[in-house]
Formats: sequence, structure tokens, C-alpha cells
Amino acid sequence: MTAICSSCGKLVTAGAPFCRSCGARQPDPLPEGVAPAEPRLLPLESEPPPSLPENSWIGVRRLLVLYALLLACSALFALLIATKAAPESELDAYITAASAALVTGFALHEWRLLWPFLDPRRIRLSGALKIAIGVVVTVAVLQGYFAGLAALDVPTIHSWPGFQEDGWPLWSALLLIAVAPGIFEELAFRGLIYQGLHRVMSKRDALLVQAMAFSVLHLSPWVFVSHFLMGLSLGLLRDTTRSLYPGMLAHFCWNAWIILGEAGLV
Amino acid sequence: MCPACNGAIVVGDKFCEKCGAKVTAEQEQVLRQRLEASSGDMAEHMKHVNGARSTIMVLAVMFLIGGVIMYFMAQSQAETALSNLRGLDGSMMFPEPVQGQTVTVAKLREMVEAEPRQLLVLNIFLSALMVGLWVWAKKSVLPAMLVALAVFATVHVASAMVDPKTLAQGVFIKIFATVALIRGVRAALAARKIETEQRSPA
Repeated sequence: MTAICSSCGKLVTAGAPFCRSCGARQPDPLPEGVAPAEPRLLPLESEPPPSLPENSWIGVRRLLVLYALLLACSALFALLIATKAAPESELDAYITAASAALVTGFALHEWRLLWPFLDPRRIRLSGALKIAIGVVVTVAVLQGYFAGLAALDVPTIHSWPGFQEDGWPLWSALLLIAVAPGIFEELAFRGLIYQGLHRVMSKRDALLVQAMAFSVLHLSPWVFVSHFLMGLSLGLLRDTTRSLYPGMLAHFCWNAWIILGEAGLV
Repeated sequence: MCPACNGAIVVGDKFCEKCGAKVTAEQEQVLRQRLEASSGDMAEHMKHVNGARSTIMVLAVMFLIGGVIMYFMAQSQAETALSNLRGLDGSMMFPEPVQGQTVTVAKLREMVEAEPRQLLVLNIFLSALMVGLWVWAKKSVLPAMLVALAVFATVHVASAMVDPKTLAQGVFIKIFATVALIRGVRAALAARKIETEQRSPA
């Protein structure tokens, strides 16, 4: 049985009076049957399955395969654009469908891992103030960062003009660039990868690794910094609300805001 | 055994779980030796983990050296491109689109001049990131190795998209580094399993 140190967040033996990593005194274990007010123990849903030590490598390997396939999707997209085999918006639709199918496949395979974060009854909205501050700070920093990039004359990727050229309606761009990433990137990174990593490392490390993976997968050096922050914020949002839905909504809103801005509607 | 309270301590513990006393470096050393002697597997795993950690440092050096070489190569390419543009008027539009945009010749000149510098900055950034991961690996080796693996693979896929020829460059080093990192991840998981078993003998 393991628990999380209340001071440094590392794994400790449940019930041990001191942390073996930082030496901090641990809160007294609660008597049986009394629900802890603010549970510092691993929440039940993220408790690793008992058979974990034998197959932890298989779990990590599955995450590496998922990451490699998502990377291959991005690479394929860029290659197809370079060959000009089809209009960009059409390619975008294919690749989005392919990665959505990929993530859905992995998610169905690991539904046990994801379900606690998808069950609408388990959503927790008590940390409203924390969430509001987090959202405001993140949006402010990101806006500042992108304004800085624009001032430095760094070319950034615009998606809407391509759709417009090909005569695709605005709702299709919103579907492909805001709705689909909102759902599937959250499922993949804040769901499968974050939770899968948490099986083999501390929560803080898992949070950092999923944010890094999320940011480098965008394949653009300039968004590395901004998307790392975005990955951290969305990960913390998932932790605060114990659900993937608020993150999906936030992710959708951000992407939709960018597209509507490009379309000159905001 | 903890010298203060006789509670059980295992390799990796910095404090005794029972009484909170600090585990000294000598005690840690003794524990490590005893563990490695008792299980040949553990020594083998630690070898791979340490190998993977050194690989992260090798990658940092590689990005730095590669970045400098690429800087000079890109600079000579930029000079050729600039000499090709010499005869053209700055306010004229360049006939072919550059990165999907139509730009003036003057703007194109600026872009060509800036490219080697951007490449160098990017490689120095990646090198610094790897040094950071190497330091992080001292504390938590598994997450650092996973991030290094993800960054390494992504950088090569991204640069292959810009120029497919880069995929073949240094292919042996790439395979070696990838294998070393994956092995390190496996070994770290296996080493942790042995540690866990040691903690709960049941």
C-alpha cells in the first residue's frame, strides 16, 4: 500500500509516520470508515491495479506507442501538405479523423483508467475560485506571449485562411480545429498519458511529462513554451475538477477564440 | 536498519519512515552495496539506468555541436541565396510563395539572413533542455528519460519534415540513443519493482 507525502508529493508507505523522501511528518492515518476531508491518499480511481509491478513496462510501452502514432499522424499531415496531394483543409479532416480514431481505440482499451474522469457524476466544481484564477492567469500569459511573438514578427500558423480559400464553411473549421482537439487531445494527454504515467511516477512528475509531451507534439519551436504552460494548466484543471470535461471545454474555447479571431469575428 | 530506531530502511530512502531520522551517505552506500550484492539483476538494471542518464548528456552535447555545424552550413547556404537575390529590386514581389506566403524581395532577404541564427538558437535551446533533463534525472530518472525520448524523437521527425535527408544523418547515433533510453526506462521500472518487493516481502 502506498500513499502520497503531504509535503513533497512522493510515494510513501501508507501509515508510515514520516516521509522517506523529505522526512516530513505524515498526518495520522484516519480511523476506518471515516472519509478524509481533503484526501491526500491517492484517490481510489488512480490507485494502480494490484498487478502493476509485473506489467508496468507494458503500460509505459503502450503510452510510447500512442505518442509515436500521434507523432506519425502529425508528420504525415505535414508531408501530405508538402506534396499538395489535396487541399489543406481536406487533409486536415483526414488526419483529424485518423488521430481521433487512434485515441478512441486506446481510450476504449483503457476505459477503466479513464472512466473516473468521464463519469459526469464525479465532477467536482468546488474549487471555482482556484479555477477562475488559473484560467485568467493562463489566458493573460498566453495572450501576452502571442502578442510578443507578433511584435517580433515571428510567423505563426493560421488555419482559417486555408479553409476559407478552399471554400469550407466556418463551422467545419471550428469542428476540426476546436471541437476535435478539445475532445481528443484532452482524452489522450490529460486522460490516457497523464493517468498512465501516474501509475509509474509521482503525480507532479506525471503532470510535467504530459505537458512536455503535449507541447513538443505541436512540432513548432515557438509554441513549445506556450503549449507547455497550456498543458500544465489543463492538467491542473483536471486535477482540481477531477474530470476531463472542464479541460475539454477550456481547450475548445481557446482554439475557437483563435479561429474566430482569424476570421475577424471577435 | 535505522540506527536510531531499528526501523527498516531501504535503498533510495532519505529519511527513516518510522522515526524521521536522516539516512546518512555511508548508510546509503552500505545499503546499496548489500542490495547489489544480493541481486545481480539490480546491478544490471542500475547499469542501464545510469547509461540512459549519460545518454541524455550525450544528446545535449550532440545538439550543441550539431547546432554549431548547422549554423555554419546554413550561413553558407544563406550567402548563396543572397547572391542569387542580389540583382533584384527590394520592393519587388518574389515570384514564388515562401512558406505559403508571397513576400517582397527585401522581406525574403531578411528571412534568409535570420535563418541560420534561428537554427542556432533552437539547437542551443534543445541542448539546454537536455542538460536540464540530465539534472532532473538525478532526482527522478524515469520522467526525465521519457521526456528526453519524446523530445528526441519529435525533433527528428520535425527536422525530417523540413528536409527528409536529415533522417539519414547520424542514424547510428540516433538508434543507439533511442535504444539506450528505452532500455533505461525498462531498467528503471524493473529496479523499482525489486525495491517495492524488498519493502513488502509478502
